[in-house]
Amino acid sequence: MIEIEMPDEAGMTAARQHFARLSETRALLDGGADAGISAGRLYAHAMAAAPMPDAALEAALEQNLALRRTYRDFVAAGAIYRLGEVIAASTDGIPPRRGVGCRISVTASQAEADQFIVILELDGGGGAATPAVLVLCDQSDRCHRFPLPSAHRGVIQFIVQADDPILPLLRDPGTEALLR
Amino acid sequence: MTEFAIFALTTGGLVQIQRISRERAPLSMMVLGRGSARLPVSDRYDDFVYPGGGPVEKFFGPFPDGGFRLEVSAPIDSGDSWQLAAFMAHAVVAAGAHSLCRDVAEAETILCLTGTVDFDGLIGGVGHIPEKLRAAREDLTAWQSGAASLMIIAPSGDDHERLLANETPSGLTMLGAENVGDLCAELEIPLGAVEVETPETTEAPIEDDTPGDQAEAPKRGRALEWSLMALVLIAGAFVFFSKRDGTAPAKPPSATVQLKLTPAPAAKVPAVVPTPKPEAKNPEAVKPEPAKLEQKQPPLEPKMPRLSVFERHAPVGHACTEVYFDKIEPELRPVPLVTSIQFKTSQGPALCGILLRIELGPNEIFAAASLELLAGRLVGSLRAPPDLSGRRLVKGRHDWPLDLPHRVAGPVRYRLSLTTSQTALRKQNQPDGGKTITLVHEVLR
Repeated sequence: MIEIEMPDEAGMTAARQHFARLSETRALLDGGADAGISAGRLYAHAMAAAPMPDAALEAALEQNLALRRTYRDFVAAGAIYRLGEVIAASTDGIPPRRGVGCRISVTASQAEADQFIVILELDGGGGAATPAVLVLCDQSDRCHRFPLPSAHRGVIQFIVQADDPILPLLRDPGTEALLR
Repeated sequence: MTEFAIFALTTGGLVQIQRISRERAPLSMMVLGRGSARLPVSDRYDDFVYPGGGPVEKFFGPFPDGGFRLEVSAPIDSGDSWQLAAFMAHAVVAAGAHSLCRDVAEAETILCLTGTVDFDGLIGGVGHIPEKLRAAREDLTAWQSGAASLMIIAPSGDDHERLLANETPSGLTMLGAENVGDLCAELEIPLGAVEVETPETTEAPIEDDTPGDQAEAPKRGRALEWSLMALVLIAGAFVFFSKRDGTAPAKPPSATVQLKLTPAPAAKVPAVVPTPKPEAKNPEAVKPEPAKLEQKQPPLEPKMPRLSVFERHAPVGHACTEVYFDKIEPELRPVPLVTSIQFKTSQGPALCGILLRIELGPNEIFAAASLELLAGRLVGSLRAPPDLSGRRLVKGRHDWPLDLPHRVAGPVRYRLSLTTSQTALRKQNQPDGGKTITLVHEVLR
C-alpha cells in the first residue's frame, strides 16, 4: 500500500497555487482555444469537495452552456441537501429557502449594519453527513461554491459582509442552493 | 458606573473582550473585532452561553431567542481559559450599572482574567500561568502607570499561587477566586440572585481624609458603611431635636468612635482589592477597615448534592455507534425537571443515551447512587461508578454514562437515587442524618 502524507493547510494552499499556475500556463500555450473537456474531468471537478483550480475547465464552463448544465447536474447528484428555488421573492430581505431536512436563511446583523448572518439549519435525520460546501447555481447555470464552517447543534452559521457575492445569489429567487 | 476593560489572559497574550451584543441567529459567536471572521472557538462559546448548557444563561438569563456576538481583539484558538473573562464581561453587560469599554484609555478598572467557569459558577484551574504572564508583561507594564485599577484574577489554588510567585510589575492587584459569586461581590458587579438579595448596590463615594490609607481601602462593604453612617445621622438628629429647647446643640457623636470595627479574620477571597478613586473630603467620615470584608455578600453556592440528567445525542452526520465506542464526543443536552421528582421525557432520532451527573460539592461525604429500571433496558445501569458505592469518601462531580440499547425499541423508564451521609453507607440504607434524592426519568425510542 502506498501511504501519502497529506500536506498541511499552507502546503495545500501552495499546491493549489502551483497547479493553478500550471493550468494557466497550459491554457496560454494552447492559445486559449477550447481543447475539449472530457466528461471524466468535468465529473471529477464537480464531485470534489475542494477542487483544484482548473483554468481551462473554468473557461470552458464560462463559454459553454451545455457543459455548465452537465456540470450542474453532476453537482446536484452529489448534494446532501437540495433546497430548490425560492418560489416568490421577498420585498423585505432575503427569502428563506426550505428543503427536505434543511433551511437556509439570512438575517441582518444587529451589531454591524454592513454585515449579514447566513444560517443553515439541518435536522440531521437519516444519519445525513454534515455539508461542507454550499453551491449556488444561478439562472444561467453557473455554479458558485462557498465553503462552510462546521455545524454545531445542527446549525451552520457564518457572517458575511454586505458586498459578499453570496448575498445577491441568495437574494435571487431563481438561484438553486445545494449542500454538499 | 464603572468602565471596565476586560481581558482574557492567554499564552498568546492578552485578548480583550470588546463588546457583547445580541444577534437574531441561533448560535452564539466569538468574532474578531467588528469584522465577520467567526472564530473556531465559537462553538465552545455557544455551549458556554446556551440555555441549560452554560453558566451565562443560568446566572443572567433567560434571554430572548437568538445568540450573542462576543467581539475579541485577537483570535483565541483553543482551550477554555477565556471563560472567566467572558463570564465577567457578561456580568458587566448584564449589570447595566457598569459598561464594557473597547478603548483601554477610557477604563477605570482593567481586569485580566484566566479560568474556566462551570455551570454552578465555580472557577476552575487552567495552568500555564507563567507563560500567560510573560505574554502579557508588556501591556501590564504600560497600564501600570495609568489611572485605572489593574487587577489580575486567576483561579484559587495552584494557579493563584503561581500568579503570586511570578515577578510581575509592581502595583498590580492579584486575586484568586473560587467562584463567580465571590468575584462579582469583590468587584461590586451585581450577579443574578446576589443582586436581588443585596438591598443596596448603588455606587457611593467613600469619604476619607486619610490619604495614606486610601490605597488599602476596600470598595466592598459600602452597604454596611452607609448603614452605619445613616445610624450616626439618626442618632445625631435625635440628639439635635431633643435639645431644641434653646440650649446649644449637642456635639454630634464622633463617627470615628461609632464606626470603629473590630478586626476580623481574613476574608475567604484574598483581600486585595482595587484602589478606590480619591473622593470628596469630609472630616466626619471614617476610613473603612479591612474587617468589613467579612460583610461581603454570601457566595452563590449551588445546593449540594445535585442530580442532573443530560441527553447524549450523536452529532449531525454521526451515528450512535461512534458515540458508544468513544470515537466522537456526544452532544450533551440538559434535561429539565418537570416536577420536583421527575425529569422531562427525553426522545430524539439521534439520542444515544443519557449521562447522569452527580455533584457532591467540595466537601468529602459518603455517597451511594443506584438506578432502578422500571421499564426497558439501559446499558451500563447495573453498577454505579465505583466511587459512588457509599463505602468511600468522595467529593466533586461524578458522571455516569448510560447507553440506550441498539435496535431495541420501546420506552425506558428508571428511578435514580442518591444517598449521601457523613458515615459509610451499607446497601443503600439511609443512616441517621443522611439524605436521599430520588428522581424519575423516561426515554422514548
